[in-house]
Amino acid sequence: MVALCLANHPPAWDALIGRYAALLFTTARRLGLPDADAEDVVQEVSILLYEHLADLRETTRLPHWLITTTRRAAWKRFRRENIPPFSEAVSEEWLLESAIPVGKESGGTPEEILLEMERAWEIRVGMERLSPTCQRLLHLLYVQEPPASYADAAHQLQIPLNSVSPNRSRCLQRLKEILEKSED
Amino acid sequence: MNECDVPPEMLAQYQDGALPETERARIALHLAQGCVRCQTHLAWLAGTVRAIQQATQFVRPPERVVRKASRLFRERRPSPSLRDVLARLVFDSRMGAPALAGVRDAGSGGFQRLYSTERFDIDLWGEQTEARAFYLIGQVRSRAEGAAVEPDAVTLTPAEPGVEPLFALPDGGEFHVPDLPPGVYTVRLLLADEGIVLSDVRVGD
Repeated sequence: MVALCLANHPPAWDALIGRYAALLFTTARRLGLPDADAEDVVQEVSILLYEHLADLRETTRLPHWLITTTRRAAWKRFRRENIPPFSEAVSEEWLLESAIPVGKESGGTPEEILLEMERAWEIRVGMERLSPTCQRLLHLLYVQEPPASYADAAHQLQIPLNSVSPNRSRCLQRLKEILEKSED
Repeated sequence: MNECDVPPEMLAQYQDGALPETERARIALHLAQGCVRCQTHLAWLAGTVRAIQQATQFVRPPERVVRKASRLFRERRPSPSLRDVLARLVFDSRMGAPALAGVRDAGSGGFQRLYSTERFDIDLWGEQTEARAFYLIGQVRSRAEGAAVEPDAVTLTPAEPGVEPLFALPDGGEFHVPDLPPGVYTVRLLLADEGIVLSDVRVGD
């Protein structure tokens, strides 16, 4: 997609923005920015992405670049808007420009949050490549609140009860293979 | 259980608390004895489950924000240089046409269509999922070489106004859309030196 953007093809840019807008917006919010500021950060990072397209031909590193750039943009916004750090413990780091404030609902250091975001994004992309049944099974067992029991999952997917666990293992194994392949 | 013969499935059940007490105790002992293989797998499992939960929490910004970000490209590079080529439909499994060589069985509720341009053949194959959506698989082949050509991007724009476009995932010479709602779409395939447009692609009845 980056190569096509450089070849001056607007739909490729639409596809790039469509794919990564949620990553930028969620990262900015996760770092503690209010929604309106997070929206501005999406815009700022999109402009930076446009300006650095030529440096970003290696698209496997694109999510990492976008997360790091979102962090810098968020930090500048905290400073410019004089949004106080939510945690006194990190304010010194903040002044040293080595970290940005942790949001009210956030846990962990900014570094940990960004690593979490990168890992979650990889999983999201990997899960999109699983079969619909695998996606549904993992959602039932791990995402739904409260999680489905094996019996509930078997009923909803209309599969035998004793096949839930083996199916789940196969789905996780497939996900692992997809992630390993994407790291190559 | 001194030698590691614990299947990954059992570790997942252990993590879920779904094992009978005797099995649970044996696995706990096995782990306490320091089986690195099982400890590593359990750690991977815990991290993956946490990431799966977080992966569902990505929030797309309001559509006006996405549109604004999309516009900036056109504002700065107003003249597209790639040409779009409209593909023609040459086979539709739902039209009762005779089967062609290489046409897969689309199955109940499924469909297959073949499109062509001067340089490429495009195969679309859809299978209905249990949730009334479709799993769509596509492939582009060079007519000259017969080899699969992986598109750089595939967008599916619904005919219904105001509905967001979808993006297919290129995968090993094919592209996949795992959960495509029924409807009519314009499919645009972006190749290295041209765009291919499939118009009025009907998915479902």
